[in-house]
Amino acid sequence: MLTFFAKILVVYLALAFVFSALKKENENDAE
Amino acid sequence: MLSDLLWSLAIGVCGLLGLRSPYIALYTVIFVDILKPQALSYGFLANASLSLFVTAILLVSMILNLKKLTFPNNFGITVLLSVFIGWITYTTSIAQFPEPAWFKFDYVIKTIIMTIAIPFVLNTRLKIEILLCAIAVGVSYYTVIGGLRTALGQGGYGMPLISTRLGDSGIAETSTLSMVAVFTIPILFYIRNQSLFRDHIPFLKNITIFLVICCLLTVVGTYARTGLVGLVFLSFLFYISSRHKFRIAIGSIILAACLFLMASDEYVSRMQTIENATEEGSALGRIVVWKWTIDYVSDRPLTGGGFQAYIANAGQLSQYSPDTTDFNFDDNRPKAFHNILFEVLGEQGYIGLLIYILLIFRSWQLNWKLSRDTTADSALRAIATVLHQVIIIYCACGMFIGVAYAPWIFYFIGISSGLQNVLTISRQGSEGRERKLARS
Repeated sequence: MLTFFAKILVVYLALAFVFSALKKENENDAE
Repeated sequence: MLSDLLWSLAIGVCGLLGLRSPYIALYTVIFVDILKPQALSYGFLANASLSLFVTAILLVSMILNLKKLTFPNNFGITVLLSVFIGWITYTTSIAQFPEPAWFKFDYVIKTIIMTIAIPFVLNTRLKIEILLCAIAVGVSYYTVIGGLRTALGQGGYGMPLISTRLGDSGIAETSTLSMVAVFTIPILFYIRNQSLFRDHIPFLKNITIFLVICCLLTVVGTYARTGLVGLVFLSFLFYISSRHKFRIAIGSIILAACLFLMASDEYVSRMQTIENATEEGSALGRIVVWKWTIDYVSDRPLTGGGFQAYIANAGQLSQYSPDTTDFNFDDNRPKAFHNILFEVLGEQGYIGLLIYILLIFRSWQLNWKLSRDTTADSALRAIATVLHQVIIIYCACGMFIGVAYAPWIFYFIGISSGLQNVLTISRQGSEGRERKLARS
């Protein structure tokens, strides 16, 4: 249960950072 | 099976997006290198060549997006890394134990080549920050499990806090885990308080606080004295770099009191052994190996014994043990160096040690200078402060564990070099704006 929680959290953060970075980069390019 | 699907989802998505953006590919490489899903898996990912796969994606991405790359403007670190590659290749070719030496050479050389590639990819603050996030996220899997297991009272001295398929090795080794948990704390604080992501990811602020608490609990749960040393250095570094020194001092005292109140008697008595290093077996073992290393290198001062040279101390350590102790080393098993400087000295000789120290010192110095440069962008100064803190914590903890070639320090060196690119670009940008304003 603990490891599953850690895995979900890590996958969420890993993907969230990537999508947030790409969004930010696109915004910067648009400017 | 479900875990493997989760890891595959994260790596697959990041890898695909990485084909378009080299910095996302680099993020994926660092994430996989730290997390090591192949070592955690019992399913189809077990022993899969994930590192090779994501490194191949990075190479393809760099070739496809040559225009997005920047030539590093700080040649010092790149030159030192190249010289170090040449030197370790030479010492490995004449190593005392060729087979284990080439095995270690294989992963060290990959890490150093990756470090040389890092500054080529980094040319904006966003790209620097996402690499720090990759380190924090990769480490978080271990600290969340370690922290929650400690909170539930499942840890104990001599018991591994994290179970991996490969046993008590790499980041799962308790002393290493405690060091990693400590140096992740300043990175997490930066992500929470100053990063570009702080207002764009749901729950990020709460998650980072949760992760910091998990890091602290992991340090307690490992029962490693290395972690306590790291925490002392971290408190001191926070104190000297903060404008709110009184708050930091009070906070550190309260935190230390809470940790010791929560920690078991077993933990407190383990930490008290720091005072009697020459009488306690584990600490004495380290001192004996360090004495042996100096003698060993005196026979081959320039080149050392090549990677894994510590094997040569099997059966020799008892003669270095003080007569006053009843601790004996007669079981003929070799004992590892347990210190980054003695590890490099024993394996690469004084020349290798000099290059290694210069690499770390130069990276630290660049960050230290930038963190105090009031003319630089405040966000870049904050990143430099974090990097200077993690390098010092790494070196302090590295005095008790053999992690000289662990990937983290090389990533910090690569990111430090990349930060200089960003600084130069940011200065050129502000000079350009000033010129435009002067003309208008």
